[in-house]
Amino acid sequence: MNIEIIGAADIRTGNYRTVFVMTEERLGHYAGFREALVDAFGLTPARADGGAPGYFRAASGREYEVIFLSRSGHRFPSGIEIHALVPGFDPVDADAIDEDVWRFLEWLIPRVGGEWTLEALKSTGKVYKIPWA
Amino acid sequence: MNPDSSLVSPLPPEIRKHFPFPSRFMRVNGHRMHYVDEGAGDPVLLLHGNPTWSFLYRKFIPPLVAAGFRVIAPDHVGFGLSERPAREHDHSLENHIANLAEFIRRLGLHRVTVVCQDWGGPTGLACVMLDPAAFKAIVVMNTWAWPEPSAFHSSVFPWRMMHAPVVGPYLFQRRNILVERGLYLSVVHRERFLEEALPAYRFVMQDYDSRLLTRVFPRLIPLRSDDRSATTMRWLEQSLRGSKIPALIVWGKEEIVFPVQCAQRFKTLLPHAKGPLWVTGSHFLQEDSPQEICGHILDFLTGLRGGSLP
Repeated sequence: MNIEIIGAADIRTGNYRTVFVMTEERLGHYAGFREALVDAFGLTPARADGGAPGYFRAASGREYEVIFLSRSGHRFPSGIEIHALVPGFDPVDADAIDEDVWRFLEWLIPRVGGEWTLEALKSTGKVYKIPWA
Repeated sequence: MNPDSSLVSPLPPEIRKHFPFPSRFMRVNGHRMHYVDEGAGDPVLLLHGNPTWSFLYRKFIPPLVAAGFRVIAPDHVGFGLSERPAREHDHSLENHIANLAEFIRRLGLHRVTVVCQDWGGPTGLACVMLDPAAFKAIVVMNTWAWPEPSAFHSSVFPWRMMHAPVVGPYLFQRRNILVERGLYLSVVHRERFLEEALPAYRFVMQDYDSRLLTRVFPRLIPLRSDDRSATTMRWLEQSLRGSKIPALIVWGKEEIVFPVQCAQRFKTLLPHAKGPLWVTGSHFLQEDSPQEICGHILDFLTGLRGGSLP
């Protein structure tokens, strides 16, 4: 697992560009996921007004930006985008990113809690042949 | 032919050899919709679900055409060779029903037999209930038409975890699990599927964005009475309960997504229906038993005609 929430000042990746990884438009589809991210990234009402993105560092050392999305009629954040911070013009290693994001999911699910268990995530990953499950 | 139809062949030869039908396109509610339209006679409308496309019915088309039917197989907007709206909020059960209803209306179809599986059920059966006079019969296979979820759809492992927030985009879109693994797990004749069919399903789901609906459709299955789609599914069930449309129920013996209780529930809703008839088949029973299912459909339609095909 080993996901570390970091601030913008803690980013080690130098001269990076952001590379889109994935988007979640309905964070509130199931209860608990939004709250887990709000807690983990310290989102306060003040940040609902165009505040800074969140960042995390995976065990691999690669770093990621989390953009919090807002949508009328839905509680903030209504969704997120995850972007990889890629140095300069380096190529993107999609499998390495996928492993990092899987570890992010392993970090997230226990924070949601309740019926959402790490065991259920890993079992689902194994059924669907996720290499890191 | 509809005036805005066009014929192109966007498929590579190795897929086209299994699916040799001209591709037609029509703009429906602002979206480009792909379909196959073969033969002449009373229409048979073949409706697929998630994550397939009209390719799923490739072995249904020749025998039905040979028996004297016009066979139409569209790709839902968001699947196959149809347009892929880019945002989750573009997709709702109601929008998909409206797209299919407009597609049927613009083709001017009458005396239609709807053959449906998975999401082809709620969308196609809703169209029948919206304009019953245009339809002759329905054939339901491995689907549902009510607001209560099956046990499979209620469970966290694996179904709800698969499309949970943040998990869903990862598994369905970055890892393409429904095509790469889900289809394989949901057919009986797996070696044949891998060789003949999987390349065609992969071909239309090559990119992250192209896979959006594979994860959105699961989220449209209502779990609670106040979920999205629940009101429409309640209306659909109530409408079907009063319907006298001739019906055939065909079900896969190995189906786990919509288990035997779902076939029985259709029989309760439509007590006059023929069946359930059980065939070898998991969720994608069209891959497993196409000839047998076509035989059942033709027997059923022959029966409606008093013993002779059109």
